[in-house]
Amino acid sequence: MAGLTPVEIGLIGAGALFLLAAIGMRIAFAAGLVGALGLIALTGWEAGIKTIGVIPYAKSINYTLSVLPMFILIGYLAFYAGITQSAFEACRRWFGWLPGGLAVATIYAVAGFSAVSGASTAAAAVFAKVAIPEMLKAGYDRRLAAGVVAAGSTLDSLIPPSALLVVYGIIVEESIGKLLIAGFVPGLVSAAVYTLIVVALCGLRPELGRPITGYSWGERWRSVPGTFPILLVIGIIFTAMFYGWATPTEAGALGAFCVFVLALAHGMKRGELMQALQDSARLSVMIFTIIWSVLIFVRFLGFANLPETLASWIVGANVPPLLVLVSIYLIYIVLGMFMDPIGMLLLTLPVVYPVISALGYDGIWFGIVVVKLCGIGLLTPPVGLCCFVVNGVRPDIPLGDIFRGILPFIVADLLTLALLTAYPEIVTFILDVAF
Amino acid sequence: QGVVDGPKVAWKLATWGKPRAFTVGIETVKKHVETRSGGKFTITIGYESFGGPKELLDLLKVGALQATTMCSSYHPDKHPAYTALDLPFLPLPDADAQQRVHEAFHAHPFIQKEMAGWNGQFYMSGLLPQYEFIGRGNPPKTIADFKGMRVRAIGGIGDAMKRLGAVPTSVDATEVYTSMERGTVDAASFPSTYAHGSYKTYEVGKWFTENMAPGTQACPTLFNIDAFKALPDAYKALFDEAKPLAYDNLKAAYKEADDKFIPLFKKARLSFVRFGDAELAEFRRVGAKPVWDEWVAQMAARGIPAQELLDLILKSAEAKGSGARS
Amino acid sequence: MAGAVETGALGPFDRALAQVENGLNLVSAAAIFVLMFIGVVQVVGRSLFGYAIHGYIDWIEQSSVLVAFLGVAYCQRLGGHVRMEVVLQNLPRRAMWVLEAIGILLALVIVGMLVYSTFLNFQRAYQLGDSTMDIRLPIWPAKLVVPIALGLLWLRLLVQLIGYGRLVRRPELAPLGVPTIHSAAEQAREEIAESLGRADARRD
Ligand code: NA
Ligand code: NA
Repeated sequence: MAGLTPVEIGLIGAGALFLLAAIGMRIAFAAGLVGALGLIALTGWEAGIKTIGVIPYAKSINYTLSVLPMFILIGYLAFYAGITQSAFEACRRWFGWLPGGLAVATIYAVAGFSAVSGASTAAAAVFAKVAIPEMLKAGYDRRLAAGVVAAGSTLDSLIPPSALLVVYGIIVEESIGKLLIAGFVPGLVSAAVYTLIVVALCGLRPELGRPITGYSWGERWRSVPGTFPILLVIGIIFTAMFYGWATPTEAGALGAFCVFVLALAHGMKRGELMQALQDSARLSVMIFTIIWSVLIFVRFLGFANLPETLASWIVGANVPPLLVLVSIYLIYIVLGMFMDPIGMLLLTLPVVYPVISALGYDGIWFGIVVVKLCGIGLLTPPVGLCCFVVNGVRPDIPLGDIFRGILPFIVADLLTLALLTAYPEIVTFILDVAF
Repeated sequence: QGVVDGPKVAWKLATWGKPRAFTVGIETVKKHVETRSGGKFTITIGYESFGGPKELLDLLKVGALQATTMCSSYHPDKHPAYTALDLPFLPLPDADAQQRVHEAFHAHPFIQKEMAGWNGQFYMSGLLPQYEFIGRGNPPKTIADFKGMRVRAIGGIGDAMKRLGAVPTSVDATEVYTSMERGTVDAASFPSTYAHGSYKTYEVGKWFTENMAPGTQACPTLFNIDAFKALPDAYKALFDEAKPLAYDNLKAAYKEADDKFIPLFKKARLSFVRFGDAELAEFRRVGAKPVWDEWVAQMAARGIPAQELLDLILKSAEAKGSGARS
Repeated sequence: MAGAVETGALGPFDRALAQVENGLNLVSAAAIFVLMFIGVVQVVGRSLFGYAIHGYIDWIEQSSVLVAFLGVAYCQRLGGHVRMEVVLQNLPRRAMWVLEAIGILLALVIVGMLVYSTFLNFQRAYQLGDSTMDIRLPIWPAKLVVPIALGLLWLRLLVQLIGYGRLVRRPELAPLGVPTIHSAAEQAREEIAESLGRADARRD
């Protein structure tokens, strides 16, 4: 590649990757191809092609990464463990008296479910089936009902276990354990902001969703034991990591085992177990593949010295860090309209993360923020996967209504984002306590 | 010193982690070579951007890198004979002795042939300081106090600790702090003091062994043989020039780390454990000779002149004063 | 199936390959299940009985090669690898098949390169030696899994290239040997089937 500097080759490669991704090439192959060709351009054919062969093994065989299949398995087994209904019932009895009480109950039931599930789409599907009929029966606005389920489901990626946080940690080499613990509080803060929005909306316009009253304290307390299984799993995963008697991988295995036992107790059949395992295997291999292939691309960027150059360029340009940060938020919001979160993270982080670090932002904090941005992407049209899932379970609620239903929650998400940016302690304080 | 003339050459030298005492040597070499060549011979040091620590030998072999640092304990069977330097309780009291031994060892034909399999030739040692332990609970006074202690110790030090009755537990370096705080491990060994300093084990520990010196590991800088051959002689000479400077700066950096961290250890109220001669001899009786003998037996079975290599180490360790700088 | 007749060997080859893919994905699934139990044994053993599996990290790392690679062709057959479909879906059918074929052709190139170079990576470990850090397990078996799994993926991509090529020439034929088009909405439906159990889900 005569005449081109490594950084120019790097930029051309980044452009090529976006083009290939845009025309629908699978991101794993596009990233691998561009990375391989780039490495060959930079180091010659011999060295280049042999270098790419080192990466798939080296980057997949990683103890930290082995937590991923465990989290995925938890998600697939959670449905069979039948803990959704009782969580929703308990939340209804405790939060129903608020304006829009059933919607609020949905938010906290999803938050609880998030602790036994690693993927937002799973939460969306389960609660579209469980919570929407209840809300409609109680005369709730169907946009609100669909919107709260779709938006609530994005909490799943913040509250551990979360596959997205694991992927983030692997790419940028931050501690998975810290990330997972750090996601817990922002998840609850996010849920609280959703609650505020729902209560405000339904307070102003009671016809959207009326309070559900009439539960005695006795009835409330009697609903609590039903949530024990969820609390048990939360307790195991969270405290095992918080108190350090298990690594994330071990905590994941323990959590999966508990959900497995619950599912057996709830009557999961052998075929269902087989299916859950096979689906876990398929989703795992998908994530592993995209991780190592994107790391081929990242290696190419490293050889081109692009991230470092870009980072020092942005730092040297003396742009206020907050401005850079907000621009990055905007880029993620726009990309999130069209892209799947994992693909989006893997494509952007190699370049964005060095910039963020060079500006002095905390890597764990940014992980939480970026996962929140992914959550927004799961909701926004035209490709809002969680909205599609809700529509798929409830074809009677038009997609347009769902997209309108999530609007207040997008506002809430932006508010949460502003909160996390203004008060990073929301994320970091627990790390100071735990580590 | 003027500028030597020569063609434009760009080298990539891989390492990992963040810039720290260990990387002062290669940073010195980079600076010297670039200055003396008038910027024509550049060395880009990649902190993990060229590959993770376990990949680097492969990348050297395939020609993606012109130079790399590596630590033998990350992949012992890639160069079994070279692991001799990782044996526990080798008599390497200070950096000068270590430099003398490592340089002599690197000059041995069998070791050179082994590393040539990875297309590597030795440049210099990383002079990683002796490991020491920081731990929780009561400070160990005698060998008996190590019985049942869960220790983070890798490579040969792990083997030795097992013989002393401890339970070696594998914990990633970045997880040592938490593991020790939570009691998953009771004590951790790191190159002392600088790595204890960077992983902040002194914040969660209660005691620090000052002079146990259970061993260290070899983390040399290697050159790609072909890349080095292709250099003009004037550039090759720059590396010879740079080496003593790099060693001096490396030693100074480790010393500086000691000067910085020892007071911090004291401030953190670590109790400093200093073993007496009798105790140290006992450690060596149990943890050194038997491990060495086992290593020699295993390696000899694989056709490695193991006894000769071990003797070379012990002999050059004794040869005080002669050729401390090569 | 009008298409099945004129594609000759494609159909049977596709099915035979699918058998192998299913089998390997099953091994991967079994590995996940076993890893779960091993993790439990490790935590419970260490916390309650002061017992730890010797070389636990090394074993976990080496066995995760099964989960990371064995299902890769299976996943490709089901169209499971992530991509952005917004542009594709809004194209005329033929143009869409053409882009699909190009994408697969490029994938064949990179996966082919990877089969070659990951095999060399295995060969180095086998000939020069390599082991894990802790208990010094030999690494070459795990490194060998990679080119084998990617080789299978290469064959799967070949089937898909032929399948798409056939559709480019005769867009009116029924798709064969290619994943059914997943619009985002269809993908959502699939995720629902996964989340809500299989009772009423149709699968290929
Ligand atoms: Na979750
Ligand atoms: Na979107």
